[in-house]
Amino acid sequence: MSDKNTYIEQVGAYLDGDLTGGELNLFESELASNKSLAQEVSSQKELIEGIKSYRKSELIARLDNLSIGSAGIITSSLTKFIGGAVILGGIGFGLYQWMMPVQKTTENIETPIEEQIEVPKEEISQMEPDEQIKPAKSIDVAEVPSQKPSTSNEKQKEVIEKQVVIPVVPNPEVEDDNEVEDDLEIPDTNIGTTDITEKSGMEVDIVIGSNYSFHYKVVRGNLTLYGNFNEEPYQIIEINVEKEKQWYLYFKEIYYSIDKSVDEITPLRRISNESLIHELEKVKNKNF
Amino acid sequence: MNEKEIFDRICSGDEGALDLVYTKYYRMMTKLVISNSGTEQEAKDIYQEAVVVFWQKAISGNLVMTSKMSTYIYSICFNLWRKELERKKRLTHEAKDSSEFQDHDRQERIKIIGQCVNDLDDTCRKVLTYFYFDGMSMTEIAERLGFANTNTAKTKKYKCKQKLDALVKRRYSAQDFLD
Repeated sequence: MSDKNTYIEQVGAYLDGDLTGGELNLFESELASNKSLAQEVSSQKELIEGIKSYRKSELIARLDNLSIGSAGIITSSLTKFIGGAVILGGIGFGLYQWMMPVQKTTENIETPIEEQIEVPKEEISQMEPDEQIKPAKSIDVAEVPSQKPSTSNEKQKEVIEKQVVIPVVPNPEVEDDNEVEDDLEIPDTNIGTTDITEKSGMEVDIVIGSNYSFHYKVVRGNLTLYGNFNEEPYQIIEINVEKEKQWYLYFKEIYYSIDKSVDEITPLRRISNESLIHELEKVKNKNF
Repeated sequence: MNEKEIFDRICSGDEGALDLVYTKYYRMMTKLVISNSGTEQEAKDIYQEAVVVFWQKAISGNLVMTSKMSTYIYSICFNLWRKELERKKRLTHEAKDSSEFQDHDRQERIKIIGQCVNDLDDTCRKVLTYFYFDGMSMTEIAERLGFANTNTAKTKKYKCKQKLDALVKRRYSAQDFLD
């Protein structure tokens, strides 16, 4: 094999992640000083991107050619939604979840956090159609924040994330009349039932490194959490009861209440009411 | 076919099973975007992209499905749409700067590469897309495409990439000439 081929082969191996240890170090130090090698790497990267882009277009073209027809949500399932809503004793709820980023360097940054959704194992066995009927609710799963290096000199605190939550509250009254197969999984998302039409627009800020270790405040409908909420995934459960929304925090297997009228930094209080915990548990488990 | 069966089929590279999922959740997922100030076209684009991400994850073997597929795909849609809204918001506040034009150039080059991939023979196209997009291992590719062994698949991949590289360079030169 010629030197040129070996050279290209090495670039390929580097981009495919096949170089390790000494080989990798050697290649990277060469890359830092060799302009033509850097150019080759860049052009090979584009080549790979072009391959991916081609495949993506191919799949999208395939999907584009599909006829949607009657697939979708049907009104006959609506009563089941509402039945579920009654069980919840609420009108609808939104569940918001933030998860820790995946520590995978090869992960595309466009990739959402879907793999990090923690679901009790037993849910896998709950995939039978009849059991898929869900109460009225909406789930909003937030995105992994891109972790930026902290600028500790600027501020003591570090805001690592700002999330805009846009709960969707569809009106099932205007649901289309399409029919659907019996085994259609009722969306465990977005099934509001009655009179809530506004969007909450809730935002969540996380502040770590401040003087407050496990606190919160709510200002103009936006929640700020103080503490090491980057250590483990947390969930914010929003339950829409008549004319108001109640928020609960689930963190490290404990539920906390959030008083929306608290605009001063306040310690988070653990919920001790067993029946409320039970209800929240049900809500959480039905979603994830 | 139950959900697990569908998922297993997707994981094994059955595009037909992906079609099923796509049509099944179409309205549910597009509604998310439409209810959040998106147009029908945007909703469709976001949903299609989400389904492709789902496919990519599933087929790469890195995805352990512990939630329902709808929940999973919904979260992808949600994130993609949120990202799109943020992008739009940024665009309204900032003038389109030169970086966007640079990006446009890059997109053009990617498009040309895509056309070259299309010009490759079927086996080469599959080897490269299975490896780089679907994230299949060389062993899986060898099995799927009926190569004698993993080494044959590796060699094939190398040669196909070389072929693509040559095609792209030819196309770039032609493009430069036309410009």
